[in-house]
Amino acid sequence: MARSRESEMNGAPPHILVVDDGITMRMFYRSVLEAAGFMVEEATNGMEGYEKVLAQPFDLMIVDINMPKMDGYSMIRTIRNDPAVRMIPAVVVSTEAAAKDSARALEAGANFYLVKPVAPEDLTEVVRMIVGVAA
Amino acid sequence: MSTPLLDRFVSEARDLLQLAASGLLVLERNPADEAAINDVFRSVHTLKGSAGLFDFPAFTKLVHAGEDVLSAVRDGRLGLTSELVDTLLDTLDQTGAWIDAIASDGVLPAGADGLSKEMTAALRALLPGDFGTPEAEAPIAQTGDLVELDWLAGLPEQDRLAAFSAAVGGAGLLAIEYVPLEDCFFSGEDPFALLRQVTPLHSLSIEAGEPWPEIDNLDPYRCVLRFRALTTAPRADIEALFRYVVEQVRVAAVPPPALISVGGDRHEGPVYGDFVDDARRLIVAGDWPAFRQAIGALRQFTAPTLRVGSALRWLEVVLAAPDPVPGWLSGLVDCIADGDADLVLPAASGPAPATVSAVAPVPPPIPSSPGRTGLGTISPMAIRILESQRTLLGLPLPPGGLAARLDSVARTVANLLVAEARRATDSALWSAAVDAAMAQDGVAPVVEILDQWLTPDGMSAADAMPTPGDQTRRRAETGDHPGGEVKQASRVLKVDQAKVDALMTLIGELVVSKNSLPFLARRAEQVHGSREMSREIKDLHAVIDRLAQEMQTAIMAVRMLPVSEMFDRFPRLVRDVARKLGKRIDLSIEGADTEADKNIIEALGDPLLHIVRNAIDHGIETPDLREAAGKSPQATILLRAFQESDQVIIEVLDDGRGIDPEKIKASALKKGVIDENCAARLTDQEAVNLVFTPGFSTAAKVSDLSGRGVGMDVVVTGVEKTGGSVAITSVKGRGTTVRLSLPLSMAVTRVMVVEAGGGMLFGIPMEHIAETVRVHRGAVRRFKQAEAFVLRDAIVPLIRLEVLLGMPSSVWIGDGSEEDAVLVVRVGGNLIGLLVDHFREGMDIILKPFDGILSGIRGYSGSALLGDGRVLLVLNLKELL
Amino acid sequence: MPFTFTKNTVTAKETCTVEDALPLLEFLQSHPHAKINLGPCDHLHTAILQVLLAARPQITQMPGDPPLAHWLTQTLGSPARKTAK
Repeated sequence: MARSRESEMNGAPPHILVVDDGITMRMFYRSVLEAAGFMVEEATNGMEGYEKVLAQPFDLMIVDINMPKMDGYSMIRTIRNDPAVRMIPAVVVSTEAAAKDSARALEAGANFYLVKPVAPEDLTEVVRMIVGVAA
Repeated sequence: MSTPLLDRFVSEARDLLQLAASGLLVLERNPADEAAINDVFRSVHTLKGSAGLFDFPAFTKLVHAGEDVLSAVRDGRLGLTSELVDTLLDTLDQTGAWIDAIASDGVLPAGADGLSKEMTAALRALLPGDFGTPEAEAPIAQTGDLVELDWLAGLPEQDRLAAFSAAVGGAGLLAIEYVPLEDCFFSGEDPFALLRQVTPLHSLSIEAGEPWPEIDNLDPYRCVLRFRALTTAPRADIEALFRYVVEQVRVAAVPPPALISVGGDRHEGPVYGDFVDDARRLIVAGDWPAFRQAIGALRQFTAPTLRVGSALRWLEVVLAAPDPVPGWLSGLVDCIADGDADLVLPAASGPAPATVSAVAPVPPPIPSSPGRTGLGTISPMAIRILESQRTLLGLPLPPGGLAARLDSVARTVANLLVAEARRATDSALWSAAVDAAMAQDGVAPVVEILDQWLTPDGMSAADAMPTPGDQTRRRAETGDHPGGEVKQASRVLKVDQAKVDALMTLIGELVVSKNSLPFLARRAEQVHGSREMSREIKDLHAVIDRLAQEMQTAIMAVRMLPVSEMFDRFPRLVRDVARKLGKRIDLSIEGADTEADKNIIEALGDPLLHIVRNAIDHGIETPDLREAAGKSPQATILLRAFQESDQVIIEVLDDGRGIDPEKIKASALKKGVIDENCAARLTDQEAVNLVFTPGFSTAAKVSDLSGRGVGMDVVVTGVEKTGGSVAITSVKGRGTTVRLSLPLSMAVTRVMVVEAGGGMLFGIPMEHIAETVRVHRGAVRRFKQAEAFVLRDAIVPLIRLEVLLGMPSSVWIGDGSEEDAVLVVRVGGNLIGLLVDHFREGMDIILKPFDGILSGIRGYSGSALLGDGRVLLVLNLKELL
Repeated sequence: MPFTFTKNTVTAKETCTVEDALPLLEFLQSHPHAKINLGPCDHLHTAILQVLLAARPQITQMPGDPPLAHWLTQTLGSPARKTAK
């Protein structure tokens, strides 16, 4: 059957990488996701995010767009070109609600697009589905 | 009210405001400092994002306006003056003051709303043009690509003139680009017919997306055409017309001047000098009737094939507009004057992307309680995620190729199916489609499944095809009943599987406790000397035993699902695959209401899929081959399920070409699976069984349909996991039957208990045991380290269980006779003798797989508790041997 | 079948469906210089159109329906497209 998660192998909860330059946003993600039973790792920009992805297995990355050093598009694009990590699903969360922004995120290789502010229950539901945890 | 998140926000906001303010001061001194403007913009942008987490709309709106102004500065659309810096600093100060208020009171001060409105309006007034009205932006589109309009100039001039006339008459002009999926013919689409329904259709260009192959290699069923059209139909009509292929269609508004281009043979400029002079004067004067006359006069003397002829035709249609645009006319006149120059229209009249609004192929409205084909009821969020994956697959491939895109989509969807607790057949179908997509290097197989899942019920092809399984389908899952049975439907209870599993565990423990009664009876007799008490306990045991068994059966019945759960997929699958291969197949299904344990149904989806695909792919011949062999051109596949004693039998029968034992032998020889001697001895049935050998595949070439030439060994592995077995029989030229025998339930395992290593008990699954024999010690032959004995003319290797399990070779505790107890087991088709200390009884146990740190231990399938409290370790012989 | 095959010509009539693409292709494969008459034809399925684009038989008559004839002439009639990438 289809292989589903990286961390399933060792029985640990799913690992989520949160990449956002806003410290409040990161804290928000962490509190919501940890309350839902996920493990959360943070990165403050695309470059740091990419390095973390290379260093340890993640089940999902939640990525902001506008960040210093490397933006979210470039980070996802870079990861999609790396056969070792390209299977990790990515959700882009951005303040922009326009069609062209979601299209750009998907073009870069994101699997889903959410508009800030994200309701905690929506965030949990999306993460839960993409990492394969039943309600 | 202070929360940790709010505290964090206050401190982050102060940092960001500080960063933004100092950045602005740097910028004021050096407006070209790109890093500074980026920092300022990002600080405000991040602040906006964080603020959105809280309910401070006045705050968020003001920050948003500041961000829009900074964005305009960054893009060079707005100059950064000292006044602007002042305004922005004021904004930051106000924001900072509000942050202080939030820090002390947790809320914005009174009057913040009015102040915010005022300052926001002042900031937005600074913005150039139509910028800064986010509310007016196009709705979220599924596919936001702008349509490249560079192909417009390649359209025939006649079409462009017609479209232009219609557009300047007031109708909005739309460009449609439609790239059908390669396999669209299989889903009954006819793109050409669809486009012919566009009215009015001003232009239609049809091109191949790739070079044509040699005519002998053309695949007529693979659509490679690309359609481009111009229409003045209302956008809503176009969206309605293309609603089923919305992912393959891009629509964009076309500004009329984008159509103007002049073509034809070159001409000498000076000849038209007089006309050009007159024309320029008339344009300035705005004297259109006189200009029209001048054009008409010149056209009479001009060959239509010349560039000037083309320019004159354009001048005529531009002039025919109710309100001719002088800039367009001047451009065309310049073109005539120069004779050779390319047409340059005044700024803002070309096909500038900024004027081309993004597509809004609005997806068909999603019903509020969506029932999805094949997926039953799934949550709206799951649908959104699936739609997003579908969109992603419709985009042009990234440089990394298909895998760069497919890998994450494959995992996202697979996980979503798990999260939504979908049936295993859905997961199997998905993973098979992913494999197929990788094998054929195209997204078509996965797109097809997603489309099917995303189609609301009642619109799908699968639903339109009644199958025998339909009568029972999905009832167990959703409680759906045919109309008129409402009363009955309300009596169906949906129960979480975990609750049923918990009951099952309890029953298991009851069985174990019950098993201790015979021990108690023995003690009553032996220790306490009360035979009567012993008999009473035994009677009681019999009663509890019967009740426990009935309870077990009843609970197992709750877990039973009809096999239609997995058969349901096949009518569509067989039809699609058969069409792709040009084969004609009639699928019949029997016994779809036969029931089996949920786990078995789920574990079986994948193996069954492989068997049926193998049958279609390798078994069934093409219609002409069948006719040549004297068979009906229509092949038959029968999918049959029935119960036989305590087993469920599932058979896949086809009347195809069958398996040729000679071919199998030859192939096995070539691959080194068997040697010459062996080949000569093999019976036909034994040769056919060779297909189960790992890695063995008889297909001459790997078909894209059965993935990477999946061998039958995969099927065997899948079925054996459930405790079942696979058998295959085949008559060359007549057909093949694959028979799966499965246990009714996975919950109870029957084992034989043996003693080894000096009193330790081990369970060995009954299905492995061929026989129990006693072997005389003298009959054991030794070959170096290995031992063997002769069993009815066959040499059977002999393995001491305690050695196998790495236990110290204890002092021999035989039973005193000159014979050893040997359990003859069959593993992977080979007989092996297991030497044990003693045979004990056979029993039904509730097998508990190891968990926690024990789960890594190989060689055991789990443990079971015995009635006397001892733990029985159940061996996994396949891993051990 | 909407196609009538004679020695070296095909005549298409009424609606040509996707099922008819294979017979047409096979005929054009075995008759490289075949001519086709689309006069009595009301609609060509995309698959048929595709076969005609790839095989380029000489067309003796376009369909009677003026818009259909117009689009087909643009698509099949321009010799320049023969060499299009």
